[in-house]
Amino acid sequence: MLDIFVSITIFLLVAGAHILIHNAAASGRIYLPRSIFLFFISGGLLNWMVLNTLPRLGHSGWAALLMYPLPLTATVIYVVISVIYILYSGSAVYGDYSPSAKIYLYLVKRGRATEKELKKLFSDTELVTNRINDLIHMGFVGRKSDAYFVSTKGKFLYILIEIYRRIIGWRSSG
Amino acid sequence: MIPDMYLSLDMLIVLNALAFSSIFYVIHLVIVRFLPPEKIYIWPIMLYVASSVISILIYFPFFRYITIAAYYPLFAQLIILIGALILYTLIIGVYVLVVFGALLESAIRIRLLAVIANAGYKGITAAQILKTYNTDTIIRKRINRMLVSGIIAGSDKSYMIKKNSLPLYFNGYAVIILNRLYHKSWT
Repeated sequence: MLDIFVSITIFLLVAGAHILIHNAAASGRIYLPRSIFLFFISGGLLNWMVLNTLPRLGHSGWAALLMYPLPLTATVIYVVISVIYILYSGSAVYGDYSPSAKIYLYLVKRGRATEKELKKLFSDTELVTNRINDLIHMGFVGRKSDAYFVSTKGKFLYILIEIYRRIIGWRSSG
Repeated sequence: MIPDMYLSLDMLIVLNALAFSSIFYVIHLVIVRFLPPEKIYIWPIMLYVASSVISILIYFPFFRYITIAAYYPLFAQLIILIGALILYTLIIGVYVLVVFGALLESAIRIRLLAVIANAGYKGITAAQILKTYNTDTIIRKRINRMLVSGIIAGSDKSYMIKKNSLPLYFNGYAVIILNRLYHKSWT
């Protein structure tokens, strides 16, 4: 049990450290996407080292239950919550609010809203243009004068997603 | 022969969690093609509940024996089951979030990538993209998903919340809180 507590504590420390360093280093809108992976991989190694040094023997009763070694379970929990955190922090830093969540929270706050009011919460720039710019920034899309082209990297990602979509038989997107 | 109890119990939780996740994955592989994409807010939860029930039913007569959990006292077997269920919930959560949230159903960027990829070597301009994929279509699609899933009710004139949606609530607030944290100046 203590292993799980340790993993969650290390996860919180790593997330906190990333926020602090990002905010101290960031001038404007840099998210340091590579750094977040580095942070959480380092945190994972630290986690594994700490779990391997925890005292295991010499306990009885509830203390024995608390000290019960679950290093593998704790490591999997660390990895899974880190993936969730990385996904959400990316959206948060880029200001990518999920349109559905935004609509939902707006309706929770206001009680009622027309379709027109809901559409006013968004713009083509926010939903489409900024996201195309992100694709350019990530190297998936290129631009020549006014036209956008898919890059080799982008084509590869698109093919992978299409293959998976066909395997599971999913039809919709976006 | 019972292997080292401490290490094996840990391993058994992870193995059972992977077995439960495989059940979810296989069921979803068979069923997903028949499900309407608009019901994206409903079916992952239903599938999760169904595969949890199947996993628990299979756990006692089957998994317990093939994963040697049956050698342990009942209390330890319950710990394995509860631990495996918690881990399985997290794994399924990440799978649904990544595959259906970030890659397939609700990913605007992936849809844009597909539109640009399908335009071929001639490329496509922002104006051409916006003719078919714009705020109107994106929001209309999301309102429809929420209507079909019973999260909201109403018509063009007025929409309101019909039932609470924990995933949307969590999703909305997680991004808002992290956005504030990541843009806060500490100096």
